[in-house]
Amino acid sequence: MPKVKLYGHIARYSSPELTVASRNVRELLEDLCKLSGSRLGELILDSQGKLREFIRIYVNQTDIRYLAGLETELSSDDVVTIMPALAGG
Amino acid sequence: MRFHLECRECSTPYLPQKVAICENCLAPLDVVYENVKIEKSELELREKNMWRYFELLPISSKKSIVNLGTGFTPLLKAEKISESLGVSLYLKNDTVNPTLSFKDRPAGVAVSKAVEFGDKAVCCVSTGNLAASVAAHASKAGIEAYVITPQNIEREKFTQIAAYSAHVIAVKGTYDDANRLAALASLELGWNVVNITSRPYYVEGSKTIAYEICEQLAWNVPDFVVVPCASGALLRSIHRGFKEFYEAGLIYSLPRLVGAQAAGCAPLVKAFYRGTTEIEPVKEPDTVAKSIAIGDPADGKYAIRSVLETDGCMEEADDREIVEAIRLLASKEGVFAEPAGGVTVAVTKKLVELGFIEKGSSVACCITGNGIKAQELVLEGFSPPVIEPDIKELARAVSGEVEELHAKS
Repeated sequence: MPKVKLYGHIARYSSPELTVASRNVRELLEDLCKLSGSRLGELILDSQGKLREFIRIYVNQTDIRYLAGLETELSSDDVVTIMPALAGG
Repeated sequence: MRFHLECRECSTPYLPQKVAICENCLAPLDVVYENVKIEKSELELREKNMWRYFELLPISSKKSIVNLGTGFTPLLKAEKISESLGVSLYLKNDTVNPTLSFKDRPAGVAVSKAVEFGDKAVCCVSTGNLAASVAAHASKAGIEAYVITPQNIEREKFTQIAAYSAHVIAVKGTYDDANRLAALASLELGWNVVNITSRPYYVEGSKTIAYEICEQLAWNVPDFVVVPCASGALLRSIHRGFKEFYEAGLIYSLPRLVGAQAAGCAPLVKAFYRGTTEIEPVKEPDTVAKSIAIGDPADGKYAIRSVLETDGCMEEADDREIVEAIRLLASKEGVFAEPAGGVTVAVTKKLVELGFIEKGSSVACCITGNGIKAQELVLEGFSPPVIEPDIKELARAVSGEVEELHAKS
């Protein structure tokens, strides 16, 4: 099953590392919210179900915006990282 | 307490600690100053470096300041380019800062803040200029520096960083790959990555460019200020600087801001022309302007807002235009800029030609880094004649018999 790692303030609302049997990122977020409560969901997705601007999600090392976004499919050995969009530059 | 932090989106206040984002909405935090009073007459008597603006910088004690003499760089009138473009062009020449780029401003503040926090080491993620600057300031402060860079930055920048004895970690991938790693170092290892962990303080240094332009134009502002954009933080900081002086009653108008990007990595320009502040990131930047090749600009939306608020615009220049502008600046004005500086001049030229910058306007271009840090572009095709130390050979060389003489080498 895909492994999920959460960082920073996002990790306050969930276990920082867990496995979820989800087929894509959207389903993974829904599963996470079921496990961890609605506050986590509110922090990650807006009321239209879009990813909030200050959240970054990576499948392995690739930003899902360069993949299929929330519809990015997951395989059992994938590692999904969810973290605040921490700025550099 | 002279200042505190505040969420840029939801205005939640925070104590001035080592925190960069709002715990409620994850938006960035800004420094907010309380009851600042600055008199022109008093300012003018102070030492000519960026620390003359201490009241508007987020350092609690002057004892913490790590001062390499950064700032109060020349504002040069570009006489020849002005004449050819029909504008009054000024060059804010940050190529002469201690480590040869504007990054000494934010790094100076961030490393001073690290000293105030009692840190024994600092880190940064960088395309090279910030890395050198953080390394130099850390050396001066007597603390360790760890710098994370993409592996493909210019060789000259690695040389400079190595000279300051920083620990260099070169990452396979783009700046954004390096940034993700640095963010994890901040979150998982607790490192003070100055442009991530201490970002609210770090970005404050850059606004001193705006303060200095005001002072150097005798408390006036130019009609336009052209700023290279990577993350967008520099443009936003410069906007903040002008607004703070305006609100303090030190200047009486605000300039129109122009954001300049390289065509090979121009997500802000693209968003601006789509009429949105929603940025579509660039996965693989492809430009000679490596110092501004940030595909996922963290402050992009805010930079576009600054441009809109001041009735400015965003524009791009391609690699050919950038290199031409570098050569123009060096050959006509005696200023050797790295590609980011070329971008601002190329964009200025383009906007004058398009009529967005009207003839007769005054324009300040931010020349943010020194060309010595990116030599390959200028050295391409450079092959001087090699002659015997003989006066006749010299005469032949200057008369253009280059090939024959060159063959002797």
